[in-house]
Amino acid sequence: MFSTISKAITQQNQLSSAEKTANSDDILTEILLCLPLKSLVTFRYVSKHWLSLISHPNFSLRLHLKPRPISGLILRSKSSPKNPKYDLINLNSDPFFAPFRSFSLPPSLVVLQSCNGLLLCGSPKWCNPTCNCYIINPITKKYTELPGAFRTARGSFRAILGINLAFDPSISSYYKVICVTALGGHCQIQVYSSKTGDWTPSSGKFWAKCGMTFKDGVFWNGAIHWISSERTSLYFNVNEEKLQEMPMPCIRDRSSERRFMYFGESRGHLHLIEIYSLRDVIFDVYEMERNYSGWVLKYHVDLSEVAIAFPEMVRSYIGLGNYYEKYSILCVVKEEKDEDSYMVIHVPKKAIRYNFKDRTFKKLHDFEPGFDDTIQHNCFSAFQYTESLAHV
Amino acid sequence: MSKLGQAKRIIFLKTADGQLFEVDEPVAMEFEIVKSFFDENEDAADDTVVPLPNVSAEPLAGIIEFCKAHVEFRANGAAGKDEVKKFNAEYIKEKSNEQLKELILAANYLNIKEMLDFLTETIANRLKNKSVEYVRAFFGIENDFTPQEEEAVRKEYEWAFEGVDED
Repeated sequence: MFSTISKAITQQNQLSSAEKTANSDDILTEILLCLPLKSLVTFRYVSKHWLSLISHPNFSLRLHLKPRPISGLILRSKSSPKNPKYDLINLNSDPFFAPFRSFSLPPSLVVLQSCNGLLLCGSPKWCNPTCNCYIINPITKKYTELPGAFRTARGSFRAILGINLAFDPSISSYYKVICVTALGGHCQIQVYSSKTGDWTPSSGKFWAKCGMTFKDGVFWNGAIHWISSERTSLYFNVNEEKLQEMPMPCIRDRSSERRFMYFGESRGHLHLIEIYSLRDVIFDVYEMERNYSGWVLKYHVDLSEVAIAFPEMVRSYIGLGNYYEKYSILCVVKEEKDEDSYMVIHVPKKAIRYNFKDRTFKKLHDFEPGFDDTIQHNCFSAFQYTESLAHV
Repeated sequence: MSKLGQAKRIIFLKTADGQLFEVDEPVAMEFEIVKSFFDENEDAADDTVVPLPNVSAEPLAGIIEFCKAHVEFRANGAAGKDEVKKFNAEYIKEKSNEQLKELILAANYLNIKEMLDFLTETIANRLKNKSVEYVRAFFGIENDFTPQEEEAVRKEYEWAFEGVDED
C-alpha cells in the first residue's frame, strides 16, 4: 500500500518539477496581473524574460479580459485655452493605482471622449471638418492622428455632427471612430478603423429627427448610443455598421423640456438620469436592457441628506423664474459588487461620492481655488478613465 | 473519502526535510494535491503518511496556520468579513519577502487556490511602487539587457507630450 502511494506522489512530483519553470511563470503572470499598468510599463525592463512575458499577446488579452476598475475622472482644469491641462480625480481606493495626476495636450486640442483607456481628442471646434482628430493613450503617451476632412465628390466639405470612439480591448485590440456627417440635410456615418487606417462611409443615408444630437455618444454593447428628447433615439452597431432605434424613457411631464442629467456607461451597463424640475434632488437612475427592450429603474435617489450637508448645492432662486445649475452628476460607477456602486456629484467647488445602496456620501475632491460657485462640469465633460496599454 | 460520523480524522504529512505534521482532515483537504491523492486512493489507510517532497517544514507550518484559520472562518460564517481581513493583514505583517516567496511556491505546489490568490495579491502589493532594481533583487533576477537594449525598451514608452507628471 505505502509503496503505491509513494509512487503516485513521486510521479506527481516529477511532473511538477518538470513543469517547475512553467509553474513559476504561472505564479509570476498572476502577480503581474495584479499590478497597476504603470508598474507593468516599468517592469518590462527587469529582464528579457519579463519583457517577453509582459509583451506577450496572451498577457495583454488576460489583462483586458477582467474588467479593470475605473481609475478616475479626467477633468479639464482651470487652464488657459491655449494650453489645455487635464487633472485626474482618482476613484481607485488605492491612490497608487492613479496612472497620472494630470496631463497636458498640445495647444488647441481638447478631450472629446474617453473609451476604455483611449482618448479621442480634437479641436474645441471639432465640428469644423478641416480640424483633425487624434487618438491618445495618456499612459503610454502614444498618439495617432486620424486622417481628416470628408470631402464630397465636388470637393466641398461635409458637416460633422458628431465624432465618437468605439474601443473594447476585451474583444479586439483595434478601435473604430464613428463620425456622423451631414450634407444637404441627410446624414451619413463614416467609420474609421485602426486596422485599415482609413475612413469608409457606411452604407445608407438617413434623416435625423429634430431633438437628436450626435455630439455626446456613449459606447456600450458594441455600439455608439445617442440620446434624444423624443420617444426614440438612435444607436449604431459598430461591427455590423447598422443604425437602429433605441427607446427613450416615457415622457412624464410634457410641460417642460426633457433634461438629461446623466448618460454614460459603466462595467457593461448603460445608465441614464433625467430630471424634471430644476430644483429636484430626487431622481431615478435607469439602466438599458441588453436587448434594448427598454429602460429599467435601477436606483431611486434622494439627495436631500446630501443637500443638508452641502447646502450650496440647493438651487437658489434668482428671480423671474430663473434657476441656475447647482449640482451635476459626473459619473455613475457600477462596481463588481452591486452594493459598492456609486456616483460622483459635482456641487460648487467640490466633488462628492455617493453610494447608492447605503446612501452614504463623502467629499472626494476640492476643485482648485479660483472656481466660483458655478458648476463647471457635467457628465459630458468629466471623462471616465480606465487605464489600458492599448496601442493607438 | 470523508467518513461522516467518525471521530476527527488526522492526516499525516511528511515534508522534504523529514518532519511529520499531523493535520486535521478539513485543513489538509484544503490542499488540492492531498485531496486528489485521497480521491484517487480511496482505500488508503488512515495512518498513511503523505510525503510532500517539494515543501519544507517552515512554509508548511505557515500554510497550515493560514488554512486552519480560514476553515474556521468559513465554519463560523465569517468568510469575507473584517475579521478575515484583520487575520490576513496580521498574518503577512511579519513575513519577510523570502518567506512570502517560499509560501507562494509551496501553496502553488499544494494547489491551495484561496491562499494562492491571497499571496499573489500580497506580493503584487509589495512590488507595485518599487523600482526595477528592487524587483530584480526581490526575485534574484539578473539584468540581461545590454545598456543599449535597455535604453531602447525605456524609449518605447517615453512620454510623447511635455508637461506630464513623471510620478
